[in-house]
Amino acid sequence: MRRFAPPAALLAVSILMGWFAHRLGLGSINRPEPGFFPFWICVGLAATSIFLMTRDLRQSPEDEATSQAVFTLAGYRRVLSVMAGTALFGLLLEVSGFLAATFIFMAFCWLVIDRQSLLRGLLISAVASAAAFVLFVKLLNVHFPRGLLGF
Amino acid sequence: MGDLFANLYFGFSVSLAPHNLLACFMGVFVGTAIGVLPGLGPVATMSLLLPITIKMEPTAAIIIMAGVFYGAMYGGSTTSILLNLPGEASSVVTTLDGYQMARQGRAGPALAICAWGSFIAGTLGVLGITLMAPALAEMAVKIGPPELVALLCLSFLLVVQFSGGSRPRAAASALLGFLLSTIGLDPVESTPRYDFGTFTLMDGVGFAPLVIGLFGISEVLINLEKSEKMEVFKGRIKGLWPTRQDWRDSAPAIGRGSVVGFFMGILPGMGTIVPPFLSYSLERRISRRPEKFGTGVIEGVAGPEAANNSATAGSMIPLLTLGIAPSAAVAVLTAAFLTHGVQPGPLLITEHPAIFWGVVTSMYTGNALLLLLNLPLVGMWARLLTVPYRYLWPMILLFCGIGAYSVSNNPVDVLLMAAFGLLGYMMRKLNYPGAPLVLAFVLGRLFEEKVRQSLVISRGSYETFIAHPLALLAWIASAILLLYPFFMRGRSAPHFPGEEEE
Repeated sequence: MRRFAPPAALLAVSILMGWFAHRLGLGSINRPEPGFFPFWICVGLAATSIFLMTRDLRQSPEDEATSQAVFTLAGYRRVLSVMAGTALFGLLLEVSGFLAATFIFMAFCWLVIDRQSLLRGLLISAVASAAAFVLFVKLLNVHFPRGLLGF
Repeated sequence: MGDLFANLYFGFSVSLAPHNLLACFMGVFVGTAIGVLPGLGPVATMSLLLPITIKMEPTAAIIIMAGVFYGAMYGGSTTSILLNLPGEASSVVTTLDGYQMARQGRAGPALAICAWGSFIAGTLGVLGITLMAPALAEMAVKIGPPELVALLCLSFLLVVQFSGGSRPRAAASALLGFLLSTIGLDPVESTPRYDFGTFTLMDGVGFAPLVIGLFGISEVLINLEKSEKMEVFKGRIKGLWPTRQDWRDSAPAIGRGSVVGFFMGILPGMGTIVPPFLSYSLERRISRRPEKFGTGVIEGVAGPEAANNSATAGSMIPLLTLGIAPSAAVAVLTAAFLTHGVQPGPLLITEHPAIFWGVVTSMYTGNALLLLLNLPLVGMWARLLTVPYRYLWPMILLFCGIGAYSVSNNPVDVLLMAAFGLLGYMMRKLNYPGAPLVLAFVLGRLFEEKVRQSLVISRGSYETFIAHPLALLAWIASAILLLYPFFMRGRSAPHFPGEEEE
């Protein structure tokens, strides 16, 4: 069932995007309009997804068991934590500025995800954020938002 | 020939300028480091460097990016030999005999022959570019939109065919990449597509968030799941000068690996993963002692290592002559060219000779620098492996975030990168190759633009696509590739460990 899910998701994406493309106008084969290419890509993607779904439906129970072992609850948690941390970094950049956002992000990674001790986690987060600030802002001159704190 | 020497002299005068030489050194140094460290490949690293190199002069920026690309091929073999763990997907095959050699106390000769083989093959590959690229670029100038459409179509099919694993999954991945390339303004009428009323999406999906997410973030997520501790080689590495017998056994393998790698590297979809496998199979097939392969024979190390290094040089040919990226890493190089307002392709050599010859000649220098970096400093690279991954991954994530953000100073790109990271992780877990998605994303827009341009020029006639012999040849090759799976029914597609194309 889990191997069945990705092509099903791809099929859903192709139907949705194909519908949007259709609304843009397809034109004709000799004079394609903006929706022409995305629409036919979606048709191709839908056909490939259906092929994959029918093929995966025929898979043996052993294969199914193997595919189910691919994802674990702990794995999901870690993946979602990393995603949340990265998204948090993106959201904080404009608000708190580069240095504070980096420190919060590093502390999140080392304290929440990696479960280091509080003191050690905070210390390496501070050192890593300072090093990143010196490298990217001071040495490489990359422009980052200053944020509410002014740095 | 006189022209060639004049061009090489001009190229060296550009690439040996102090700032370009420094860029070359930085590139190969970073390349070796990320090649040694399992967990960050050249595609992700080059994407991270993309925003940092924006402010640099174009030649230096492209030299540094190219340095990372071919430098990673050198570094990848160190972990393969010392840890039985490939630093790069292209070094998977080196583990077979390289690690066995290390176990027999011959880590030194294995590392040495890797470095020398890489140097020889890399240099021969660059020589191939020097000799072939100008002539091919001259021919490519005559290629119009219809011929380019046929060549792009052939490239898509090659990528799907040879990306490893299941072809339908590779096709789904390529179609998804193609679909993502249609987000933003339509290339002919500038009508917004799939922007959902946002300015960010009106510009299309950024290349950096896509590649960094797909390769960088997903790599971190995959590595976080591996709980096993790396067994770092602790013995002293001795005998870094191969014996005469080692040279006698390796030299033909290096020669054959260089040729196989270079020509396979030119073909889209081959990347640097397939050529080492082909070289290994070839060496085993023609060897007088095929049963010894896998037990620590030096040809099993020399041939594949030569092949992956000459393949990096070969893969530059389509980029420099046609503007087509045959692999994900070269796609990032394409983005580097475009970021600096330079269009790679047939006109590059005439419009930007300093960039073309500067980059090509820097690869000669870079290969020599890599030999110096990899032989005497091999102990330092081995020590780098002792840094625990738990201290590295938050830094890698931070660099990814910075890389995605700083291309257009848009925090939404960091969110997009996270989303592509999740997509990349799922794809890798479910064995959907990432390389076809990236290549289709890069080439998709060009394909659509050229098809529509051709139809406008021909007033809607499809005959234009087969009017040129080159186009016809490309269509015939595409048809053969399409029909190939039906003839090969019952045989599975080649599956290569470490499917990711880097």
